[in-house]
Amino acid sequence: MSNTYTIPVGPLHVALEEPMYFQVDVKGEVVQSIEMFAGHAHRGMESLALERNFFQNIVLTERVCSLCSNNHPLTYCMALENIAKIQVPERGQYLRVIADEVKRIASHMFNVGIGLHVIGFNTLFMHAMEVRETMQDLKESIWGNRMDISANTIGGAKYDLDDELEAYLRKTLEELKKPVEEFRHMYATHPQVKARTQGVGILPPEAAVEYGLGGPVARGSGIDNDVRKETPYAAYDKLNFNVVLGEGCDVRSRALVRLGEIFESISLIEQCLDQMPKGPICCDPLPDIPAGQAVARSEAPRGELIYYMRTNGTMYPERLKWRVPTYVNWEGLRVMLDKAKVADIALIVNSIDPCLSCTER
Amino acid sequence: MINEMKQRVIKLAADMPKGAELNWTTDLKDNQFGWVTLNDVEDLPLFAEKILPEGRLVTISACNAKAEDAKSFHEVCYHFVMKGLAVTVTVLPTGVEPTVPSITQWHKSADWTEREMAESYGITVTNHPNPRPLFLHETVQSEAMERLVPLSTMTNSASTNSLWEKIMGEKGEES
Repeated sequence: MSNTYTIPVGPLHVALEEPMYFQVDVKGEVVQSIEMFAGHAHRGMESLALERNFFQNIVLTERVCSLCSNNHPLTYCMALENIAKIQVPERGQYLRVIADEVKRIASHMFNVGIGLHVIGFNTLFMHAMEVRETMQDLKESIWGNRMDISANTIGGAKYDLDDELEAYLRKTLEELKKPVEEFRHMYATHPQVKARTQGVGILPPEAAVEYGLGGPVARGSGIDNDVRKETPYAAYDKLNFNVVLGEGCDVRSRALVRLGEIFESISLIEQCLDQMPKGPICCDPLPDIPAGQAVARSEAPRGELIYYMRTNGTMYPERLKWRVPTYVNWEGLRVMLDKAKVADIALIVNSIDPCLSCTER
Repeated sequence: MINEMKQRVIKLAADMPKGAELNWTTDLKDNQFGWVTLNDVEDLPLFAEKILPEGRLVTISACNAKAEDAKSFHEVCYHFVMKGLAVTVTVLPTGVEPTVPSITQWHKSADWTEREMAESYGITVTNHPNPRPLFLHETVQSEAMERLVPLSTMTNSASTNSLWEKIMGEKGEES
């Protein structure tokens, strides 16, 4: 007689941020296999995008997901700029990087914080959220909103920084360094965190390549795949930064990659503020958008984001398709959850920083 | 590295049994983009196999070809990335029911996106290892991206009263 049985996890589960249904086959406490059922947050946005003109789609794409909400309109605009050969002014390119990196810091703190909440370490979770709140305040002060910051437009940036805002940004980043360093130290050395995250959710580098995984999930297994380095966009080709890699291939390694990337993001923003020239922030006037097709890629907080656009000479896209990093990372869970303990399922799922809103659109 | 990858794509396109067209574009940062059009969809599995190990499938975009000179109602674009070089391979599905072969056997990342294409565009994917719908429930009609839904149908039961009547009607009770 088989002692394997099936348990449901989700679609609504206290440890899942968004709805996903996992059918988990377990033997005792050990996961044998999983099947995933998606579709609970499907909104048909790709179809909707065909009914919106190019400017309306900036607003629409920003609402695909709130955590990487800056990368969607950014990559969308990049695809359109590729088709129409629109040159983004240099200041606009730096402003795009600043917005992107601010969002990345907030997103990474959120994910690592939720991971701590899942393992029951709520003191450190609250600490993570407090640090993240600094970035939320920053976003509200500069862009007037805490999540959807509307920083991008076709041909450049939609916001500018005056001397006062620049000084405020520098001061906030300076004040952020110590708490983040303390937080990283706590995460890296605390025995309880180590016990729950080390050796859990193993993703061998070969599996990361085989499944085509991206972002900090793959980088936590040593795969160097950062789009910002691989095919630079905006001002990344003028900035110095390291691709943070981990060797542990586990939940802990993925979290430490994210925490390491926060320091790179702070450095990138500071470099932008040092190097950013004065001048226009956006191409004006914009040319007509001709018929054509283009691909654009960027590094969202969760990894590689790609947009494909086809135009036909009208003000509406003929096809707009995007693939978010989480879309491919889900399948990696088959490897990470194999022979995992039932109690670790939510923690391992959280370690891919899953985004259902992005995945299902 | 990019030039090395470019040479690989040029050779791959030249090696396709039924032939392929190839052209290149760049963006404003001089990042390169390859655009391959296969003359025969049956060459797709060969291309997918030979682009390994450097090439990985990023996503698949099915499109309704609207140009007047389009050769097929559908076009399917396979987006690969080879060490930073983005390569898009376009094929025209064949058959009365538009059909493309699955490439999940070589690229595991094709699994979900092939299933999504099948449910959204009604394109049959042959030899898929797990051909169940991805996002849409089985009760939803297929070809979700293809169908015209009249506004009157879409807004049917949108008001509280008619929604209640509909629910009670389905349960066989009077409202």
